[in-house]
Amino acid sequence: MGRYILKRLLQFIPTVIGSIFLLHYLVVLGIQINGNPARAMFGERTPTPAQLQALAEVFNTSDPCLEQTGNPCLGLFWERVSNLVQGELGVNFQRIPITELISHALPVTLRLAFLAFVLQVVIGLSTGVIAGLRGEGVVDYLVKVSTVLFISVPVFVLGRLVQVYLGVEFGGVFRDSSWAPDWLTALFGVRYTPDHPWASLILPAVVLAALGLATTARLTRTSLMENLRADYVRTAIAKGLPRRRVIGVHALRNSLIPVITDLGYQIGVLMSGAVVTETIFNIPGIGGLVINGVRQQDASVIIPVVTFLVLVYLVINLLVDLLYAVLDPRIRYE
Amino acid sequence: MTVETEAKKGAVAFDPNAPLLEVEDLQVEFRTRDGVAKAVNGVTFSLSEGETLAILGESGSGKSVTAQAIMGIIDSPPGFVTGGQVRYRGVDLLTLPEEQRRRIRGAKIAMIFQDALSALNPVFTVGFQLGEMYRIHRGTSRAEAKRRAIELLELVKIPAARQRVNEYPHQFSGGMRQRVMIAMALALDPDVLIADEPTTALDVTVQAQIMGLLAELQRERNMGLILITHDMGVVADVADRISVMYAGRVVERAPVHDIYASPAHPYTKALLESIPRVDHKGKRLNVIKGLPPALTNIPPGCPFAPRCAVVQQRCHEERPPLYEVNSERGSACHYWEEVIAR
Amino acid sequence: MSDSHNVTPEATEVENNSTSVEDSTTSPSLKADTAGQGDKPRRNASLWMDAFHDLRRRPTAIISTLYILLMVSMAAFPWLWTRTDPRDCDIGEARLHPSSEHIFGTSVTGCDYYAQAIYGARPSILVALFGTLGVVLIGGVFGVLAGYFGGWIDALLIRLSEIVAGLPFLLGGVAFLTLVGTHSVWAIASVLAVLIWPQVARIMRASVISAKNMDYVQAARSLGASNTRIILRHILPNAVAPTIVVATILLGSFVGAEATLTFLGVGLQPPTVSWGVMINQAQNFVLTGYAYLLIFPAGLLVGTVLSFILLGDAVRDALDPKLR
Repeated sequence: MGRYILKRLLQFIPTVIGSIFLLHYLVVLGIQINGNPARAMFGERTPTPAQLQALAEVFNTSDPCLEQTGNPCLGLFWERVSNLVQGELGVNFQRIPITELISHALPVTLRLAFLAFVLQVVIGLSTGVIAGLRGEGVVDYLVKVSTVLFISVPVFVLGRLVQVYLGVEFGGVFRDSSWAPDWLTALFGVRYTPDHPWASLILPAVVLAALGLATTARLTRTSLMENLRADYVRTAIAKGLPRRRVIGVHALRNSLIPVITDLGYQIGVLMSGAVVTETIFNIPGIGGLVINGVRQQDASVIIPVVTFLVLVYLVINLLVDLLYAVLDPRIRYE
Repeated sequence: MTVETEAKKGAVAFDPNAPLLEVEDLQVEFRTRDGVAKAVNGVTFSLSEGETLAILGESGSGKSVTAQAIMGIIDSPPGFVTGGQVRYRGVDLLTLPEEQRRRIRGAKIAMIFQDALSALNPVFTVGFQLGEMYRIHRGTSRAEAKRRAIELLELVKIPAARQRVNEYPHQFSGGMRQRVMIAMALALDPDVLIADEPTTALDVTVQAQIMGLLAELQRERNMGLILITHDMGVVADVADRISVMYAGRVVERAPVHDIYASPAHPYTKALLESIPRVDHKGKRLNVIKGLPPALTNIPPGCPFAPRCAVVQQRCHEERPPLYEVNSERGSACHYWEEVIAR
Repeated sequence: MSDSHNVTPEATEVENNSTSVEDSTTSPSLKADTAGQGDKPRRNASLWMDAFHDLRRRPTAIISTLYILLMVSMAAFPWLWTRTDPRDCDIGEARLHPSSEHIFGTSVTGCDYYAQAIYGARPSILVALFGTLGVVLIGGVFGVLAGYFGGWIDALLIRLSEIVAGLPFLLGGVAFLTLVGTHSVWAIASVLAVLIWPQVARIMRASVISAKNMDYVQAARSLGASNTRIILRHILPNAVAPTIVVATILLGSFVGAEATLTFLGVGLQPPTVSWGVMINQAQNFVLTGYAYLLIFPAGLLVGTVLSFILLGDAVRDALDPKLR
């Protein structure tokens, strides 16, 4: 186990540096292709000195390597990494530290991701288990169809549809009524309301969870069906164990290994999928930060926030890999 | 999960004087998309205490399915036991309610599988899987179950049992894993042990050790042993009696020495001739031509007829019953007298 | 991968339809004879023929193929479908609900919405096509090199693909496209190609490794065939099937990805008309009673994504002999 952790950690460091470098290179390349970043970002408008100052701090625009297309600008990369290590993410156009923006936005996104994750685990796992145990039938069919459907409908289309039909149409009933409590109105609202930090996040969480939920159900179903056919399940039956122990302990314990692993990765996916969901429902989370940055052409927000999200994503992936080893002894002792 | 104590619940009334195990006219079929495969078609045999019965046949002959039907672990659907009886101490297991049947599995009749690596659960320790037998069937505490698991490992001669009890199946070698499998089957001191190709997946040297261990434990405990195999070499050393299966039927049954001395069915004869032997060195090895019939479409008449060396017209039309050769022997060949004489 | 448009883990799902009857008819000695080495090219051709015959019997495959052909014809020859110019707009006629004159209604700026939906197919499908070609090219080359040569090349390429996979495509895409400033089909397609290729590389690598160990490849190698020849003649034809499946599914995913990036404001921009742009422009009016502005382009888009995914699934099932 110790060796496995060590190996994983050693692999983790180059992956993080590599991913951050890739992001850095995409950014640098963007600037190089487009010429002067200030002009690129402001187009016809004239940037204010504060904006130029912020830009200069983020990109070190004076660096000549930004004019040589293809140059990886290793010097700038090194600067960025050492800033990152010190927790230094720079400031936005209004000269507010990015760390401060993130610390305000993060709790909202975490709430959203948490709600979505709970939905995914509870509904995804239970339908998956039912479909897996019953075999071909209504639940199984629903799981299959909904997986394909949810993969095909882009999240933002689904989000808008939910917003229109559950938020505007259905929610309108409560808004117009005198009897509906506030939280119910917030629950079927069109956008996030800070007064109801949980209730008004439920619809967005449903949207955010939709795809992963279907995938989780499908994976659980497949994995359980496979394991129910496994030799060791036959052994467990031959040992005279009761059916619920055969399924609940022997088959399920094995089936859940890939599912739990996948759920772990899904946390990272949820964090970045939040960019879309938060845009639709006007949620002031991390994704909202990114999208506001896009709207205001404020790259000094986008780059550090994206870097932060990538780091979160990578750390979660690392934790999941370690969890995998805890769950599956064959990995642990390899 | 609550662990219930089996002993407290009502038990089935077994007759201690009745024969240990009798299988009578067992029929099993698999209903698949391609049709109904009749895997077992009227198999009959019996087993008494301390006896070893070998069931011999190539893959698809129905020998494993027979074993699974006795254990009651056939996947259903697609598999269905459509007829016959499996009597343990006079009680027909096939008509027992599932809950009572379950309590017999592992406790009275236990089974060893071919591939111990896939037959053991990869994510639980060996100790957990052994101890489970005591915890579920007897309601033993965890600590006690673990102590018993160590004893079991020592019984099957696994060195350093105290440490190895905490290890996982993949950490054991093939032979050691099969020993664990045997230990698990013996945990509750069963009367009947079914070993389904217990040594097929092992190296030749390990095979002998495992067979030796099985035979020794069987003698000690006076168990009835059903040994399912396709390997005539394994059979000769350990079996008392042999039933040869072909296309879901017993085609010959006999004490082990009689079969080697004078087979009474052309299929048995052909099987014996296909074993490489030192004293036949330099001669061409006989192989059985053709394939067994598809179980979805077994021809009328003798199922072995298309491959038989001494086939007659009658064989294609009339299915031979299991003729009685003598009180201990039977052969499902119209011309067994000629076969045995040659 | 952080986006919904992703190859699902189910890509490897194999549904086992076999029953537990012991091999009822075959004996191992006979199986070996039918898999001889000499008939390799014929066997390969018949694999594709079998797959094709199998596909013709699957309703989902036929329907999705027809739908895809319809969409491709819109993208290639929009004038077959409409004579109206999608940019011939009358702001006075903005947001008219569907009627006999404008069967899809009119857009936010008063253009014929049906004509826009037809002309919108081209950029959406081009992004998907170029993106997929890029992914297959980069991923294919890297996968073949890693799988065939193994050793340090393999280790290096695996690490590289892990690094790229560590950057969620939505975030990388947003970061890059914001700075590039140009929101062209090419820019979007290249971002997709650069960030998604590990998916194909991984699959290609696995199939090359399994093909490499086939007896006939070993035989060709021992006869002194060059690496290039072995790869082109023996390995690629046998390793290409899984990649085709993934590429089909990716085509669908990328149609959706273009729309998502556009929705986030970093994708295609007006005056370009794409389904993504249409959906994006509809945004602000969807909540105030103009749901049709969303429904029409989104419907076409979802149908396209769905068709590619279903077709990919069907091709996989048809190519997988285990299922037959």
